[in-house]
Amino acid sequence: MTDVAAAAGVSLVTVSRAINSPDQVAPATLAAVRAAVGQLGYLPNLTAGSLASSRSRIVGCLVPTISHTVIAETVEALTRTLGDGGYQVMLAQTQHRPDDEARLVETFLARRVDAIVLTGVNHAVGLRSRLQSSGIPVLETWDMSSQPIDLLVGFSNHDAGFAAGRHLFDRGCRMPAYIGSDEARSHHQLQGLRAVAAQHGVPDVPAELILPPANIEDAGPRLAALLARRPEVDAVFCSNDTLAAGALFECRRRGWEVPGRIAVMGFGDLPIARAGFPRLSTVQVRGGRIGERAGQLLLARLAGQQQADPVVDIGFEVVQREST
Amino acid sequence: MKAPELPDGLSGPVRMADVARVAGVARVTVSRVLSNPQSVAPATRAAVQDAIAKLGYVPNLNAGTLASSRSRIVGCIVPTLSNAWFAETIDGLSEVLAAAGYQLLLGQSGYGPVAEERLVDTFLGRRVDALVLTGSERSDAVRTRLAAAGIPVVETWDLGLEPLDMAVGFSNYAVGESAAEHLLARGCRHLGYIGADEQRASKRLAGFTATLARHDMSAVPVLAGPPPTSFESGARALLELAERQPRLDGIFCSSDTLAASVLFECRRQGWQVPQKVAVVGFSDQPLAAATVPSLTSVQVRSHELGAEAGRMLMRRLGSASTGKPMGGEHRIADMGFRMVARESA
Repeated sequence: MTDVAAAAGVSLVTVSRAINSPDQVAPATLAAVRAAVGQLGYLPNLTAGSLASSRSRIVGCLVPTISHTVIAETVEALTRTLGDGGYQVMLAQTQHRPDDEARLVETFLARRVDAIVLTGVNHAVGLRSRLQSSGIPVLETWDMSSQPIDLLVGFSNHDAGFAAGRHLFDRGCRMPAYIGSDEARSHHQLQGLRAVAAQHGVPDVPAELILPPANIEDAGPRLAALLARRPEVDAVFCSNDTLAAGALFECRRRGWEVPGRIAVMGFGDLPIARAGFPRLSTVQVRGGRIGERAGQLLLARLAGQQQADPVVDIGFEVVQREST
Repeated sequence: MKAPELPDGLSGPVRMADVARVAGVARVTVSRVLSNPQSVAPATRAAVQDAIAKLGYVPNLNAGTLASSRSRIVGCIVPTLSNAWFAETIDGLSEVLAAAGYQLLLGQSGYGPVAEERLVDTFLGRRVDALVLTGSERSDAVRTRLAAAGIPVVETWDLGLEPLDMAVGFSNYAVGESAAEHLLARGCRHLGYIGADEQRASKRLAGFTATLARHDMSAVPVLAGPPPTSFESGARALLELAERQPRLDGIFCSSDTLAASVLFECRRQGWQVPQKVAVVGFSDQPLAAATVPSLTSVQVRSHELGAEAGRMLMRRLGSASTGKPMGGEHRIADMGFRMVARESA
């Protein structure tokens, strides 16, 4: 590192800073240090640094599966935001299994990650106290809770389900149904949908819950089963736009008019919602925004700043297009 | 924060020896449960895990790193996670690594060689045991760096002439040839191409046009902008293509996203698919089978590419517990591709 400092004409501490927190170094200086690093082929040992400072500069991130488009958007933005601040993301997949999540948290703690990002607010028994006694920042995403473990960036899935249901009733629907994954965040949406249905005197919302991961090809058969069982259903709210697109294709295949015979509502506002035919009404949630805010909150906390409010509700918005 | 309550006779910090004593096993067994749980009998594993939970023990895997000069971390750099292909590849890679006791460090290059160079340096600085990269085109700086580092490297999603070390992928050029042959066999004679402005897509275009040239034909190419491609850019590109090639009767799209947006736009324009224009996509995403009409696409197994990359690395690195490389090493895995003919072409 001394050689790099000499070649770049800067102090040792500047080289260290350029490597560890590039955002704190003036662009010209940063360029000079990077040029010297490239020229000399210098490789800082970040592992050794992590033992000395007891900082690994790694954030552990747990997601159900990275194949899920909205989750990928969150991880994309999180990785980018933390990367700009000199942190790397270590990724692991829980496959929607709370026990796997708990086990992977142990691995991350053993890796001395500086912070942990979790998906959702429902975890295995004991994980909360385990994380709270770990002393590192923990950030939950993609749902809302009155008792977060520590930090939280998300929105209320219950309220989103309620808003989707209200939109469907406002559009004249009388008997909504639900297609989603058999996991906590879908359950919260369904509870919200049931709450608004009850207000409209509909005591029961038929639902199809798919063992995760729910894929586009699952939607058609589930919609057909739903309508065979309950022909009075005139609207369906799907837990994500991919399932809603699958439902739209099924309607097309069977010649059911949308929204004439059945209204279809998605969730997420993925690009396919705007592109499909008919264009999909949906609940817009900005997955990228969740990752970006999560990254900013963690960088602030890791820099020693305390947040006035540890909970960020990024909200959601009902977007009406052609399918409702 | 409240420290966990410790059983009698113990005071923190809790060490591995304490866990071994409480579980009634040897230290090496505790170590094995931590690094490679599958290698320990379930009952013993449960006893050790109970002791770990009771004592609140957190092993320091990084300290082990310095002793063994193994971090058991694999770095993976993809252009962007916004593209479902790469997310699926990471999914497959992550499954194999997790089962072998390795963790995955993730980086996004945004399709830029400079960003990739910087991430490679960062990951090498973190002493990753291996790297997984996307594509086969590398800057000289990265090649030199990786050769000097001496760790296993797998390049994915393409097969170049000279892989840095190992490669798992398919020939993007041959994918383009195959798409052209399929459209020609259907009788299409006025062809177009819609693709992202990116290296691997360009190779597919090169294979496509070379095959047409052998039949004394050419294709009108329309670039849909820098990747990742979007539904909006596909619809725009179709209209431009139809203007430049008025007798257009067949299109090869460099991604299923573009192909699906072409299907949607054709429907909006009232153009029958495949009667007026046939459409072939690439990668065979789940979307392809679901659309109406269903999409003909060239299938590459994104998830399996990642899993195979993981298996190649694990063969080279050996299982985490023994550290001994296993046999059967091979450097290049051509995963091939398959034309899946559906309704659109």
